[in-house]
Amino acid sequence: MNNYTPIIGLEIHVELATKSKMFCGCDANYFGGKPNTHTCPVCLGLPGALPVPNKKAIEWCIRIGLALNCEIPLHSKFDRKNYFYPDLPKGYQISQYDKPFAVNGRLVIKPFARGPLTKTVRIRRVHMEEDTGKLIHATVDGEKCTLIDFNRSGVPLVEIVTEPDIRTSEEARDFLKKLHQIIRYLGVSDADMEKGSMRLEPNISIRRKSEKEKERKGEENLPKYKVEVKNINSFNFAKKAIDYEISRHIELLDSGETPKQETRGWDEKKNITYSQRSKEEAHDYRYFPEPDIPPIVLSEKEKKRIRETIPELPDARTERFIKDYGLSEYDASILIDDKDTSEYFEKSIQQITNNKQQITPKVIANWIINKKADKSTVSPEELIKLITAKQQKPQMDATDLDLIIKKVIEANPKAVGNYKSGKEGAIMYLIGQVMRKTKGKANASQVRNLLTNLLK
Amino acid sequence: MADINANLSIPDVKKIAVLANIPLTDEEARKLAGELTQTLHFIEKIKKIDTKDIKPTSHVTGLSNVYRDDQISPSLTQKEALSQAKSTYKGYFKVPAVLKD
Amino acid sequence: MDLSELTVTETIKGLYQKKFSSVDITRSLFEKIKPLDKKIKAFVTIDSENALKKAEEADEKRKKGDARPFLGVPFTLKDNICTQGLRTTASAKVLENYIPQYDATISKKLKDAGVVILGKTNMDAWAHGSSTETSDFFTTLNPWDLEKLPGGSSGGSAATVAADLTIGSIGTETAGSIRQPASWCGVVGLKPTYGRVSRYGIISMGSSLDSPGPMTKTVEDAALTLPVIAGKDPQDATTSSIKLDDYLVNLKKGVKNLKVGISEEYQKIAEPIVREAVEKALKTIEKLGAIIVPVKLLDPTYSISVYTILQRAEVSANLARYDGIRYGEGREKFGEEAKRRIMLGTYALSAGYYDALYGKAQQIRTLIVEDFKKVFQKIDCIIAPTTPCVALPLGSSKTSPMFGEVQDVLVEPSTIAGLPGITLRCGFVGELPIGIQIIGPQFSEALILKVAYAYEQNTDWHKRKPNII
Repeated sequence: MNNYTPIIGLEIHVELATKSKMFCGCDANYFGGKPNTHTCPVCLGLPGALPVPNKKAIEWCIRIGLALNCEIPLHSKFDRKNYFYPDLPKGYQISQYDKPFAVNGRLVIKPFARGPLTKTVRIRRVHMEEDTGKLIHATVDGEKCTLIDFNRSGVPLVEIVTEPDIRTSEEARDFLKKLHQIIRYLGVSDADMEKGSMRLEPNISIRRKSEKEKERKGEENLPKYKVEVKNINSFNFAKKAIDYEISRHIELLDSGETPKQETRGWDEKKNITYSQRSKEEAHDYRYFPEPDIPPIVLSEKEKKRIRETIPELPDARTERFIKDYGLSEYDASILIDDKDTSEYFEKSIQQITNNKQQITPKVIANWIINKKADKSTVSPEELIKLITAKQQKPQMDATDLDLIIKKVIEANPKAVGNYKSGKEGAIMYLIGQVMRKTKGKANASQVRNLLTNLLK
Repeated sequence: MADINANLSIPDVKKIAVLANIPLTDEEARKLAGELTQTLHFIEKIKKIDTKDIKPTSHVTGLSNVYRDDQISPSLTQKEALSQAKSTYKGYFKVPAVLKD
Repeated sequence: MDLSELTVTETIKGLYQKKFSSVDITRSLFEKIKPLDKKIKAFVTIDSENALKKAEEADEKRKKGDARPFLGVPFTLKDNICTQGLRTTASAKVLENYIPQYDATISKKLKDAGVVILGKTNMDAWAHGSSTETSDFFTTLNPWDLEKLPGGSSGGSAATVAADLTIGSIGTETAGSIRQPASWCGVVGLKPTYGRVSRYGIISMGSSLDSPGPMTKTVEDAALTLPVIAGKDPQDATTSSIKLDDYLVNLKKGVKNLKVGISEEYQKIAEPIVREAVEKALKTIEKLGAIIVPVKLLDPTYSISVYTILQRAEVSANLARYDGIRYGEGREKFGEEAKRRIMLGTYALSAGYYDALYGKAQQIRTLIVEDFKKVFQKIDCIIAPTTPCVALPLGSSKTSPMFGEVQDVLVEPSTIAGLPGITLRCGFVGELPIGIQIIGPQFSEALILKVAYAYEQNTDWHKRKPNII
């Protein structure tokens, strides 16, 4: 591994949560629907049907581009990408080729778990396209066949492509998590990976480290091959697939071979990737400008309007939580991890200002982080009531408590010995004894603190 | 700029046929090689026109930013959607097995 | 009175004045269709039962005070215009049994206007051609001479109008498919500005070029019919929201002081007899007060190459959906012409050749657009022959893989630029009509209709009928 540097890029497809499909008025929420009940002449590719683009989907695509610090070019257009597959009803996919909605962005990842270092991943492009139908492989009357449901056909799909800036599978996972978080914050997709509304495609190659090699940017420095792993539906699988590919490539390179440029699939049961022979033949997509859709011109005014629809994003919210509520970076990052949780936290904070209670944001943060209350059943108002009730518990006189603790220590030499010899669980027994003696009046965590101090 | 390859061979024609998903017999491929070559020779004429710095036109209407609002309109019923298909099964279109992806 | 000979104008008037009913006309048309279509073979599908039912309904409604002008007026539709529940084949084997689940926007508009659809007319398969000889079913014959071609691709529509098998018809043009058969069959063919009439539900050929339009017995009929099918369509993003003119009011305003351009580049392509007829027509128009201005236009023969590349490329993608899964037959059922076009288009778009072919053609398209723009700063419209020659004998299209493109050379530049054009009779060679076309700037339908009307009303060409009827 040390002799090689992995070169990793990512392609991510995100299905937008618009009401209707990309080019027709069919309900885009196809999940769980009966097959072929969300189709019309347009998304079924009937003779003569024409596409008309969904305004909201385009705005949301640009919103994603802006959130990823992309430039939004003045001129964009749709193109036809020609290929044949039974799930593609028109025989071409309406996509964007040389003039996507967003280009040249970047996303900074700050993996807290791995120290203060940040990493910038450049975003090559963000473009708009349409999803395909769904194939189901089945056996009917003893014969193998493929069944097709076109409910998903034409659902708006945004493709995000990074530059090959990623060097480890951890970075890839961190990037994907961060991207997922941003998409959720933007409110443009449920980004539910199990449902397939966010699909991951890492591309991997590895480069031999030369003696003087520095991280030089530029094409000439990239390996001559690239392996793409298709349609992965979890961050961990993406990480595993990358790791698997890295070791596979090293093995090949060490034995003097060059890995083949190809598309591979991920087998989540065996935790391996496998060659997809069917897709190996070189594609020639014959892109050309979509004659059915006039070009798109985005004025500065329009871009500004879309920019204004972007809500506070995770990084900004983390900083604000630290600054405004005095939270630690760690607590803040956990709270903002999920958009709903961070909003729940803020609503709870509002409750205290309303009630003028002496509860600090830190306490609320702890309650939420330690999941002392379930946010799906406890409203922010109820949460504050719970915390208040807990805090109003009569406190024991400190000297009395001290005395009781010392007595418990004297009476339980065995447990004390166990604790001191490293069996940390023994402290629970001691805490229990103290709580019993105080008839539950003491605060358990306070007792724990006092005990550990005395047993040092 | 790649030049127009105005003389298509039978293997060239077969390669294009794969891209175009058109099944061809050898006889058809041979005939097409001749016909397509004839047409390519004819259209080669455009080489004579200087188009340096000329922008391409893909739309003559002058229209831009034509959208629809994100509103749901009724879909076909499943029965209507499937009505013209040769082979269906339990609400699905059915085709011979294609390779799993 | 033979009701089948009625024009749209006369039909509307007569129905309004209760001189006859829609059922009367429809019956008399079918009485004529029955024997004559066996000879001409203009229809792919004749929908007599339903048409008569619709005619009865129209008469009922009219009795109850429904005053929609087109209520009960019979029309034929080219068979590439989707009609819900009525077989639509584009004269292609692949779609031989296709019954559309929806109406094209113009089908819906015609139905909403109360038009009675008599049936669907034959065409070159997928609109690929200028003869109807590439129809996967049969060739339509020219009503003026059954040994001649009707032109195409809207040859069936043109023949139904010429032979009085309908009151009016709707065709479609990509480059010449309305004007060329209209010229060869001696009817009025209006190819509107690209984007004036919705393409939604019309089986796509060259998406950046396709324009549906009326094919009628008179210029006034075309002016009456255009607004029924034209206008912004929310389902076709390339339709324009520019308001429709009042074509009828403009029609009779005359041509006084209009500057009419004539181009030697076009004239010299036509056979001498056609050229003479057009020059004579120009004299008539000049006498009516127009000013004839010689202009220089780009050599139209370049347009053959440009059009061929653009159209083949778009065809290769537009025919990709026909895979036999959701409807129709599989791709092995494509006819020879469709295969040739798909193959050439695929090649023109493929890696390595795009720039030299498709890219280059799109650049020349810019030059053609600009050429017309420049000329239209000096003149109001252009007059030219519609086709280089009159109707050719059956079998003529089989000699060249580019028969259509060569026949359509005089309409290709204007269609590439998305301009409107109208063709009408300006003479005869023996029994065969000669066509003259008037081309105007984008959205100048009112103007070209006015010029066509002035010429038509001051000549007698339109009064002649084919011997067969």
